[in-house]
Amino acid sequence: MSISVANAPCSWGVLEFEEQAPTYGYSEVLDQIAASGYAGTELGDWGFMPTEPALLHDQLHRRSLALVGAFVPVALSDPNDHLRGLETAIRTAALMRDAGFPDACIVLADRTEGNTARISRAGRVTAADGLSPGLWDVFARGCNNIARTVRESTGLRTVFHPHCASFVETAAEIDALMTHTDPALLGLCLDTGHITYAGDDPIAVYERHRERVWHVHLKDCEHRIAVLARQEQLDYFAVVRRGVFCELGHGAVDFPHLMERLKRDRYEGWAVVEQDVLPALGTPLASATRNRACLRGFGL
Amino acid sequence: MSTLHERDYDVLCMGRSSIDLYAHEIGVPITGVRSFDAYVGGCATNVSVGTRRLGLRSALLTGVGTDQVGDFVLDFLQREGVDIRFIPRFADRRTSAVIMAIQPPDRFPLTFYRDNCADIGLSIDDVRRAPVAGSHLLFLTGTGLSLEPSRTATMLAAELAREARTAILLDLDYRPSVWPSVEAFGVHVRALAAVSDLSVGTEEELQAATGESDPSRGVAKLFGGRLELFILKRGGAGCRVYRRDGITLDVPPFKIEVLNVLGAGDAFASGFIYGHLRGWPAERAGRFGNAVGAIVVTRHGCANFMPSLAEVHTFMVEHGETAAADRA
Repeated sequence: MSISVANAPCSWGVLEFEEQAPTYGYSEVLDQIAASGYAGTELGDWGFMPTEPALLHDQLHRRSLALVGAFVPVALSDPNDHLRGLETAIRTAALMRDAGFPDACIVLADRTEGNTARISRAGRVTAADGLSPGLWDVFARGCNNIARTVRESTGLRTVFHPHCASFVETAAEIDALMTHTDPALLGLCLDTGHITYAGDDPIAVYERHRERVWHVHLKDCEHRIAVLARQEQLDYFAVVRRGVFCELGHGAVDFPHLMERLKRDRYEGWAVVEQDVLPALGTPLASATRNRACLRGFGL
Repeated sequence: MSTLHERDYDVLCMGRSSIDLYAHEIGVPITGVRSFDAYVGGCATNVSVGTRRLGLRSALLTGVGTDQVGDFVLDFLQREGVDIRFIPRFADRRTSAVIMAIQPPDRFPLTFYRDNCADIGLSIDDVRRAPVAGSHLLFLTGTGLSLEPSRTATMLAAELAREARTAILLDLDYRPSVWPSVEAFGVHVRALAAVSDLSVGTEEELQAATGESDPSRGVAKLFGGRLELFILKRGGAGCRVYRRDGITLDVPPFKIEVLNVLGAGDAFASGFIYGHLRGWPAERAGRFGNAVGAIVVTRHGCANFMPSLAEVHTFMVEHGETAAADRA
């Protein structure tokens, strides 16, 4: 069995999007990730964990945790944001490499912040909400360029993370991005929860792009909340606050079948749990422990 | 489940309830029976308990008398955690009853006691007090249409569900003894199917509802309204899912030894509803429903014998299913 399971600081309320001050420091989060049975972690926002490579290495090593990736959002349809995004990606990749984790990957995503159209349309996207052919070119060029430069300067790989409320949300948009980008440079981060809320089947997406799935995010999607949210035309952040990304094993995602496929294909990467912190779930530690137990039930 | 739901109930079931007296002796015709076991039954009641045991929040809208049998039914439901606060009690109507002999593998003769029964007394007012808009799914049955005032109450529940965008699952539940004719059943149940989202029934019930002996022709008649899925319960052959777009999926059964088929269809419906509300594709929900139904077939009665989520999970794993109930 070569699938390893990691968690991420966002499961402790350190959301990429929220401006609230984190309740937990990195040391406590790492302690709890290790204590709840995970073998690795993502980096979280820049500055949440130490940015000095030796210190970062030491903090992870003493808890036997691997660093598996870092989420880097870039407004990829806006060429003016590409340079900033590239610099962030390289700085982040260099930190992970220098901390001793050359197998970690940059988890590139299209920035949701400021994308008011897609924030309001998340979960109900149609073709009319998509990028024009010209913007697809800009978008793909940005992805290819970041992935190539990260690879050339640090040796790390880049995967793209389709995300609700961004320009790559639906299966059709994922297909388009995969067609527009270089398969040798850019992999896919399969996020089960985002694809499900987008209204598509993550296993079908996996089957179409499995050669490029180098990273997996395990999220579940609470169907009853998703149905009500679409009826009420809620925006993305309201949907998340309502708890659409529920604990694993409570929602629509068919994890047992996904695990079967990953094992069949001898997937060797990480499976990362990202659990939104919701009032009903109790402490992040308890929630992380339940999610880990659920995955053990699927043979992970 | 531990997340926020926005609605107070997952399932509101509306319809029959009864005391079920099942022959204690197995394989003996009714004339040879010496004692009966007393359980709780009735299509909607079974589904309220079946879904509750799977972990859903269920409420039941049925009627019972002010008699002792009503106490028996309500006490059981309360212990199960089914919400009974919307159930009216009638002084002028009796809680209904069913008597049955058990002669496996294929003879389960039933006698219904439903003259002036309490569950058919449900009225417009009872429906207005029930949480139709506060549930994710409304479960209705063909039997609820057999007589007034329940017939009008059932149609009103469907109308309120449409307004609140509560999904409607219609169980055809055809009981010939409660209808003046099979045509009368068909007229009423087709009208209700036209405003429902999902429907389940056996081949016999589908034929009664549509007048068609060929199931695919029958299903086509039901798809005239807004119905999206019809799930044909095929007993030992599993189930078949008919989609509105013309696609048909056969979902295989689990191999078990039959003790008593009564309640198995309601157990199946409970499992299908569980999967449907989880957002599972119809095939997976159908397979899960088959497992819940199969477990009840190996047991003596209906509502009292519905399995828990953990039991379904164990059963599926024992029968070689890797993709079982997860989170059991």
